[in-house]
Amino acid sequence: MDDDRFERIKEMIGQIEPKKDFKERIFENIKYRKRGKGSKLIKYAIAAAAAVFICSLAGIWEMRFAGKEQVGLNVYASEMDQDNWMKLPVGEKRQLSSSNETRFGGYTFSLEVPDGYECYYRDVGTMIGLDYISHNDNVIIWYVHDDGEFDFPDYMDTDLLLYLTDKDGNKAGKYRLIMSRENGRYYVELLDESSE
Amino acid sequence: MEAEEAFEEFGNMLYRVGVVMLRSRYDAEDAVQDTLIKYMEHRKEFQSKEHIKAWLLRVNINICKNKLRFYQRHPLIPLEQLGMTCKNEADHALMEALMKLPAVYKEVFLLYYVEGYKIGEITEILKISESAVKKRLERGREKLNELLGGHENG
Repeated sequence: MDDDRFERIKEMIGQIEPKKDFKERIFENIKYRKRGKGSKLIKYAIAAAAAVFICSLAGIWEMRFAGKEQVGLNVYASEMDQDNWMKLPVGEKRQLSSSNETRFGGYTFSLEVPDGYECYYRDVGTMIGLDYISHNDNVIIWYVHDDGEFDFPDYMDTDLLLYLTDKDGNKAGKYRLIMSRENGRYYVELLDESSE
Repeated sequence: MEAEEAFEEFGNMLYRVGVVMLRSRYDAEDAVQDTLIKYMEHRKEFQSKEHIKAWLLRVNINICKNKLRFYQRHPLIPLEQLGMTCKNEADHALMEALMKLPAVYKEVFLLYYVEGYKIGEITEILKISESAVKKRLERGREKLNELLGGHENG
């Protein structure tokens, strides 16, 4: 009988217990991880400061933007492993796939950081579907993909937040890239939150 | 609810889900940790304790799925190594078969049979349609039967 089988499964799973110091270790790690995140930001700040210093010496740094003008961030989306890049306009929700079904392995987003700017980013929301982010020079690639087993992106509900600073470390822009799923269709929206 | 309180209330449940999804105690602990960090960063108000539980389960399951993506060739760790004891050979075969199921079936089994959620509630947690939940339960049961072969007669 199915019922009996699952009753037994429930009983056996109920017996799985973590080790005694589980809680202590988890919270110790959380403290450590939070410290780690902070130090990463400090590293970015140091890197930005070093860049400013070097550029000043070379005499090529201009305070052209310094937060006075809106910074343009170019964002493109493409189906995974395809070269059909679509430029995403700011503030417009775009459907990612023309059909309700994904025919492919996911999406790639390419974010071009304007010349002369530094950036850092983080993912927010209930996740998930964020697979990995790579960052080369001024291009950030956000890969969101499916490997067949996980029904991408049934559970998509995640944002990528991107902060731009000028080389002096002044806040120069904040963008949010939102992936969502509504009525079986997949959407992406790029928001400019620089004024917030 | 503070993170520590949420952990006291739901930490073991999340851990158990992680062990079944990931077949590893270490990865299950990591998943609980990542889930708690997400909880601490989450700024929305929850309506009730049940709402928190459902949210934590959803995030935990999604984190487990992401971990599975990274470790495609996850080794099948014997139950004994996971510290699980089964009363008899049939129970052992049953748990082994459950652990071998693809993640999409395990998650609905865990929510439906172990946590006792109704199909409508699972649609909310996993953000999939009701028919998808039913289909996964049905296919999961079939798959479990296949995996059990002649070892299990119910």
